[in-house]
Formats: sequence, C-alpha cells, structure tokens
Amino acid sequence: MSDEPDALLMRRFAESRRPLQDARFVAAVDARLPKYQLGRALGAALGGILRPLRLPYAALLALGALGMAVWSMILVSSL
Amino acid sequence: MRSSARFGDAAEAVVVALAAGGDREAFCELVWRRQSWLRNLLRRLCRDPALADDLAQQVFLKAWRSLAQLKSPAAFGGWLRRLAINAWLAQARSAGPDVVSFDPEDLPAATFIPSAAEELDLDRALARLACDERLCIVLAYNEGLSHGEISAATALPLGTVKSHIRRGAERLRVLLDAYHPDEKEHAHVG
Repeated sequence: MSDEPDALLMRRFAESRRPLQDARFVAAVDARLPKYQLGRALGAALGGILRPLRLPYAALLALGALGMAVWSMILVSSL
Repeated sequence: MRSSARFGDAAEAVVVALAAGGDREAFCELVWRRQSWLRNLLRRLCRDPALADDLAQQVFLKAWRSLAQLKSPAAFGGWLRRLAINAWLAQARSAGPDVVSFDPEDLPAATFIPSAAEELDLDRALARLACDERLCIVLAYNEGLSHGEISAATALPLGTVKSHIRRGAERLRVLLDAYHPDEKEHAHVG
C-alpha cells in the first residue's frame, strides 16, 4: 500500500480545525508563570560572564591536560 | 490579554529570542500566537477538551522554564510540539493502560444522524484508536508531518509509524463511515 495520505481523511482533519484564540487562556498561562526567576537570572548572568571564556573543544583540552598531569605524576614518582 | 502591539508582525524567531532572555511579555505573545495550534493538537490527542487545555498550559509553562535551552529560535514550533507530545504521553501513561476496543459492531447504526458538529465525530473516532496509533495519525493528518518526521518526534521506529498510520487510517475510515455512511459514496463519486 502507498504511503500517500488518504485524501478524505486529510479533508476531514482540515475541515474540523477551528481557531481557538482565547485571551483568557493566555491570561491563565500568564498567571501560572513564576513571578521571579532567580535561576533564570543567575543562569543568564553566569552565561554572560563565562561566554567569552568558552573554548572550542574544551572537553578535549581538559582531557589532554588531565592526561599530561597523570603522566607528569608517573614521571615524578619514578624518579 | 491579546496580541501585544509591541510585537506587531515581528517574526516568531525574534519574539522567541526575546522570551528566551526572560521577556515575559514576549512569551505571552508566543502563547497568544501558538495557543490555537497547540490546543487543537492536544484536543485531537486527548479525549477531553478540558484536559487538553490543562496540558497545553503545562506545556507552555515547561516551555517558559526551558526556553533558554532552545538552540535555534526558528525551531520553536517543532520543539513546542515535542514538549506537547511528551506531556500527553506522560499523562496517557499515568492514566493506565490504553483500553481501546475496536469493534465495528459497537458503532452507531447506519441510520444514526449526528446532531453534533463534524469535528465531534472525528474526535470520537480518534478516541477509539490506540494511543500510539492516534498519535501517529494526528501527527500525519493534523500536523502534516512525514513518516520520518513522526518517527523522529515520537522515537517510534519508522516501520512502526508506517503500520500505525496505515492501520489507523483504515480504522478511522471505517469509524467515520459509520458516523456518515453517505460520505463514502460521495468520495467515490468525487
């Protein structure tokens, strides 16, 4: 059987769609939004401070640094 | 609360970027613009319009909390749809096993004349499909998504999506024919 959508069903779905534009719904969502968002404010501030410090491949660099540190410790301990 | 004059015809991506920065008014503008689509989608999935609206509110609240994580403002619609699907699936799972019987014998007699609007019949027919089948059918016919997009949005294998849509569409046709027995003839004539 073809994957083509059924034309009759397409029509039924399209015809039965109706606008549900309701100011009360928006007001209800607005009323449930938290008044203050400490987490969001802190996140935005920290993000702004840290963004210029971001490096590409930061995880790779961190792994490399860790490897070098371990290697140095092994070298020192073997002396 | 209506669409804010501040945003006028501003592109959605711009409003999303403002909302992601914590602009509450911008977020309410997004709720205004997207509510009809989201509530229609959830009403198709839920059997209860009040529950659908409650879920829609929860989806918008979740969107407000996690909007900063959205990488591309242009992807807002798809992201919101995924939140809605997840919210509905969580609700459906918590409601217990999907007990749906599909027995054409249960359907109304051919003389049944619906007094309600056509959409009621479509919703009643949809409500008789199993959860996953209904989800795939709604995403295909209500949202116009391709099988691949549905598979990505629902995390169902592509083959499963295809069979859900094929079987679901077949069942839906039988159910709708039962509500409107003359429709089939018109479709064939057309």
